[in-house]
Amino acid sequence: MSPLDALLRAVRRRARWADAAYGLVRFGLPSALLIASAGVVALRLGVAPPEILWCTLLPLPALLGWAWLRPRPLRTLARRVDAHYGLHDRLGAALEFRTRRPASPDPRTDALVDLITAEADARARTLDPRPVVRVHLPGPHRIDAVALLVLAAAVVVPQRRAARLEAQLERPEFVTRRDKVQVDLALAEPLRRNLAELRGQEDVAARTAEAILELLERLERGELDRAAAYAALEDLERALAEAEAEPERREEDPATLQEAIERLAATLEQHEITAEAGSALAQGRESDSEAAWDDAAAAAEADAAAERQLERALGDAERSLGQSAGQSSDTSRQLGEAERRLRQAERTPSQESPEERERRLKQLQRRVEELKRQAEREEAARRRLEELRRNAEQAAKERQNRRGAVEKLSRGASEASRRARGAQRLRQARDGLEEAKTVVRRAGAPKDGDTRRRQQYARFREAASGADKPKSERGKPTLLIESELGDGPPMGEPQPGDDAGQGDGGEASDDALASDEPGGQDEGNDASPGADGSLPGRGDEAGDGQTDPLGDPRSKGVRLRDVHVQAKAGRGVSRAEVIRESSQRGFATEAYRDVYTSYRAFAQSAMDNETLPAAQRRAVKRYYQLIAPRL
Amino acid sequence: MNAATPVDTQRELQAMQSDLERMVREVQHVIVGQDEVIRGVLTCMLAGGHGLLEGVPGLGKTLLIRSLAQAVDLEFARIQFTPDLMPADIVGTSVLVQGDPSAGGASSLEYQPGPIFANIILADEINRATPKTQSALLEAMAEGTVTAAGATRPLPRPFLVLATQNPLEMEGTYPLPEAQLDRFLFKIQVEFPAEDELMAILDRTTGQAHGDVQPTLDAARIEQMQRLVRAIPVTESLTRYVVRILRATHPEDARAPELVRRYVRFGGSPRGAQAMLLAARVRACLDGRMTPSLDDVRAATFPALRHRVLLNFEGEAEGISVDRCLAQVLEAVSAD
Repeated sequence: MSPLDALLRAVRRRARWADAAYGLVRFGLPSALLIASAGVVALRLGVAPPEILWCTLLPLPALLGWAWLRPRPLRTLARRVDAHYGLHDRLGAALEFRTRRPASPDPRTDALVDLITAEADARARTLDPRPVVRVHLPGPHRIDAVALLVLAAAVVVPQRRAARLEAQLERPEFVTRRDKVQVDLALAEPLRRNLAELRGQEDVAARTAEAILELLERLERGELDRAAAYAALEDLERALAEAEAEPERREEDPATLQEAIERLAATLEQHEITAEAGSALAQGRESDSEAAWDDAAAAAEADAAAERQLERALGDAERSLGQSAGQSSDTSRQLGEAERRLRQAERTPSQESPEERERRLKQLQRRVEELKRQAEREEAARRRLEELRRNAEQAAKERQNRRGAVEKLSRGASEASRRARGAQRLRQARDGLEEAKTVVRRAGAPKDGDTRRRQQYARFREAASGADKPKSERGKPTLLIESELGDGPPMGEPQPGDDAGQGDGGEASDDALASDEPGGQDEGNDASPGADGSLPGRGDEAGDGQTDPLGDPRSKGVRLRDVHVQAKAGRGVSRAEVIRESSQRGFATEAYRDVYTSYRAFAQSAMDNETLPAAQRRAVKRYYQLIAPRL
Repeated sequence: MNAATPVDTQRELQAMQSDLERMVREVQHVIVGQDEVIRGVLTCMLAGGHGLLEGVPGLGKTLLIRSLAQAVDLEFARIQFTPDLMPADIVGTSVLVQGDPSAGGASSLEYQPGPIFANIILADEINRATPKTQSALLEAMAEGTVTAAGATRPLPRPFLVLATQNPLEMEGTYPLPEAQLDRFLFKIQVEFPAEDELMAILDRTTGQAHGDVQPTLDAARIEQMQRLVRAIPVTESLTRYVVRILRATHPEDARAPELVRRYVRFGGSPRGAQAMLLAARVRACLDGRMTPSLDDVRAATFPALRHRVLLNFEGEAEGISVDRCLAQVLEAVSAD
């Protein structure tokens, strides 16, 4: 490699690094910030997993690849070196002559080419490539600030589920009524009890329950009307549906897990050493269960009898989990049946209309899809149980590191329990929400029988519990069903079964709904135009409210103003002066420009005309210059 | 082809540079400043072309050319172009010569060569002559020969026409036809001198002492130099750059900038590209370099193309200068 080539390759390497540094700072940084912003927003909206943030690094390989692969011909680099050192393209010419010698009959040309290449090599040995390409980092740019601001804005974007839940659960935007008509919520007592049981934890179900309870209380106090309450419940329902739709809740069937955990807890309770862990697991105290497992493992390490007891417990746990994992549900049978019915419906021609047939087929297909998903979830749950079983088996066999194996088992069981319980609580919250909607729909205005119904309900509850029921009253009805319980018009979209509630409660409900209408209609009609005095005055009261200082010209009270103009004595300007002034100002108007544009072609042809004497062309040019529009 | 080895060639190049420097110094004994004009005239001489000097009266155009002729020790002729100047006044004419009475006394026509039969011709105020007279120079400038009285006669070598014209006085002038303009290698603008230069001019021209120009070169040496200039190697990328520049002066070319597209009627001719490349070679020689660079081409673009690029009527009317168009061309065109 010649010294010139070596120099140019060194320059090329530096150019790559310089490009990479520049690109990373100028483009990579803001790009990464913007991508990160998008990722953060996606995360907070819950539409992407956390791994999306790895995309922030995407500009790095892209820019490095660009810097490395960007074409940099040696000829161009040689020109750059020449320009930097003021060599008048000596190196570039030498590089070019090396690959292509100019053909010339004069031998001195060859001699000069040899001289040029030799001189270039000699110079290349003494030249430093570093000053040619300086690796410098660009300063901050406006786009960097913008990207930072975007990222900051993305960070403060509220998390969709949490924020909406909090907003809707803790401080719902209820419409407050002015007339405060109280509604009868006697039937909501069992719902309230169920919801109260859901409270006390930090999860979606608890927050939903608290929100429903607060909503019912405010409805009962008359701070809300039923329409607003129903709308708030629908908002809650959407938030709850989002929570239910989270992928981790849809992966495994909670019922299968719950059943297996209950069975495992019962098995563990049978052994003294794991009784506490089993009890805690059964009651949903997962952390207590893990602690109890740890205590049991520690005891087993300390005492041989306890160790044997623990081994037996673990063996039973393994069998219990194995049974649960191997147990098949009815889903596969239902799925087979649904698929068979779908095939049959598709094959068999029917008398029904095509639309109806299509609807029925779609219904069947939905059912099949639903069962397939359920089967997949159950299979996923069984896989988890099988993993737990292996953990239990390993813990039973492991002697050296049993404590670790037990810990693994307890953590797995706790996780399964948490998932199952969470899904169960969500189901309970969903049930409570549906029931609350029904209650709100069917709640009427409080009547005289309200207190009586409460007493009846209390008595029914006692009777249902069987505690205070005298033997003589057994077999008799304990609750009087009254027709007023379902009164009120249907709210929201009509649903089957609500018709039974329509009756004498219509009046109260109509009032309630009517009160939501804007009450300013009458007030608006009363307000006549100009009643507030905003219109201008008329007639003899000249000037009041007028913008014209002379008043209304149609009235007699107009204030006149004389204007005297002093004219200049003399002949005035001549026509020539007018033309001269205009020529100084310029005649250019849009219309003249148009004329001139069309005239230009004629002028050009006149100039091209060979019959025009050459000496006269300039005069013609001058003429056209003079008549050209002034800017 | 006296030298073919690299060392000899380099020595020849250095000798040429020093000779030219000496000649320029001699000219500068008389002419103050105007370095670019001197350089342009030298370029015309070494490239074997002709120059058109344009400038207002009193800037020393005629003096410069006369001094140059003295410095190169060549035969110099000045032709003052006037409207009544006839072609025969330039190229010569046949005159009736009375024969020797002793020999029969028959008269005969004898060709009397005109002032054009010199090495350096100063065509002063060339645009004052009629186009017919101007055209008398066409053959001489292009072919280096003169056809008169039924015979074609070669002009002495080297042959250099340096014409001057005044851009201000247009009354009674005949602008040079495009064909003749194209014969000029360079159109050199003679600018008004700067303050210091004007001071020096006054010192030299109003005192007792007058500059004296000594001859430093002869015709043979100049022809040697002209051959060496043509032996200077040029890279392909540079030639392509010249071609691109020339093409970009044409409004229909893809690289043509906005000004050219709008105001130029015809771009430069191929003679313009030849002029640019030759001039770039001469510039490299003058600087002692063995090959021209992009800067040489850029510097040569204006004098080589400003009289070859024709503005359209709109350009003329708007007062657009060709130099402005060329500057935009140089911005728009890049080398490989």
